[in-house]
Amino acid sequence: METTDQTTKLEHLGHTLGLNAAEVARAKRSAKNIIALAIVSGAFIALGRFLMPGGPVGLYYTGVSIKDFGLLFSGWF
Amino acid sequence: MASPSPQTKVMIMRSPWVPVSVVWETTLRCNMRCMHCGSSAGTMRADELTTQEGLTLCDDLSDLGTRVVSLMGGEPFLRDDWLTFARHIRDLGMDVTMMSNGYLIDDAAIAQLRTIDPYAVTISIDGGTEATHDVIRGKPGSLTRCFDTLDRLTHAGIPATVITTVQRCNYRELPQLRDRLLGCGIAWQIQMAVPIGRFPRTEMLSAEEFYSVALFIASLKQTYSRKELPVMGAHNFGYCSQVLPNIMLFPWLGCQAGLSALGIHSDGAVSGCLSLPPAFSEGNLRSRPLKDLWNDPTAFSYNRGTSKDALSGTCMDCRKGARCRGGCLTVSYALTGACHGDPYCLRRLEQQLRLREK
Repeated sequence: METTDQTTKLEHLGHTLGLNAAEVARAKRSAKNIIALAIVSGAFIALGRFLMPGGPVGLYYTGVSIKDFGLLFSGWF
Repeated sequence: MASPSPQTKVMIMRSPWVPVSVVWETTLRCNMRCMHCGSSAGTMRADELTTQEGLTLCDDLSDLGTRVVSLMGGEPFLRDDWLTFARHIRDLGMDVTMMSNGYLIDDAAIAQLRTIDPYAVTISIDGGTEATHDVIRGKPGSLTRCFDTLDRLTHAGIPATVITTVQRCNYRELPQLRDRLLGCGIAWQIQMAVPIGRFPRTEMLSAEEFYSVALFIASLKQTYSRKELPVMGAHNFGYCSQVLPNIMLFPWLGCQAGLSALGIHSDGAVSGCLSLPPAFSEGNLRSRPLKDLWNDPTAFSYNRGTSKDALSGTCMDCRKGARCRGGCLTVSYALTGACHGDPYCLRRLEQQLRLREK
């Protein structure tokens, strides 16, 4: 639940790293990325079940590559 | 009928897990003395794997289904045979990532790297200013040299990544790093320094500082396209926030140590993650074949077959606990002494910092 207190607190936290109010507001999750994350999570879980437990999430540990920034990282979730 | 030998039993009960991603500490020797180094790198271990043992390890990983092998250290470019390993990994059809501090990558090394088409070459940059980066790394002039290395890597068409490990003394310089990396076509991974190795707990981010960094990453993701600034939080930046979108590369599905991730120490010790303490070691590939270690039904028990009952701390009452499994095992163990209860969880911090109602 969004409240004035939450907004103020987030702006305070963001200010530490030079974020303005608009940037903080934009950083919060939205209906678009909540839905997209649910879909992608479901796909990952299904892949894990059918192909291997955990699946490609192990790639977290390699150090990311520019090659990983495809569809999954286009700002949708 | 005679009962099957232990080795046969292991084969019969072959593990359904696959070490998709393997991080191999090829040597503990390092030319830097970073204050946050989790393995206290500097001097090589007494009995590091030989070239032949390393090549056999690559064969075994290929047989197990590994897709990416990350060669790290210490400093992997200090091993004379790094290219032999990298080339063999590529010949076996796996990808290879080099994880380096960037100081030793000269033009000759870049020419060699081009021949193996690496998945990525990651360079650690821990500050937006020389004063900060060079002090953290214990190497004067290293920031300038790292950026020079990055320029030459990108110019050579090699995928380059910057890994920034944030702690109290450098997190405020993230905006400066952002400005330097914007539009450079370099991936940027931000991770939290954890009090293991020689990193003192007093220098760790506070809850508020940690959340500020998460908010910063979320803001970058929403502000810039992936071409402008491909940035992500690493595996210890989460989880399950109710305020921020996912800031990692993939949705968080729990610690993967021993499930789809594997760590190999330079002396052959095997563990699910290189950051875990020796108590989590599964043995040594010199005394038991890697395939047997991986496929042993009793191995990696801290992650394989765990249920919600294994959660600790406030994770026990979290409705995301079954999927999240308590965040990063290393952070959880280092800070609480228990598994599956990482206190640096966005969801938990949002309650603690009163960013949402309980």
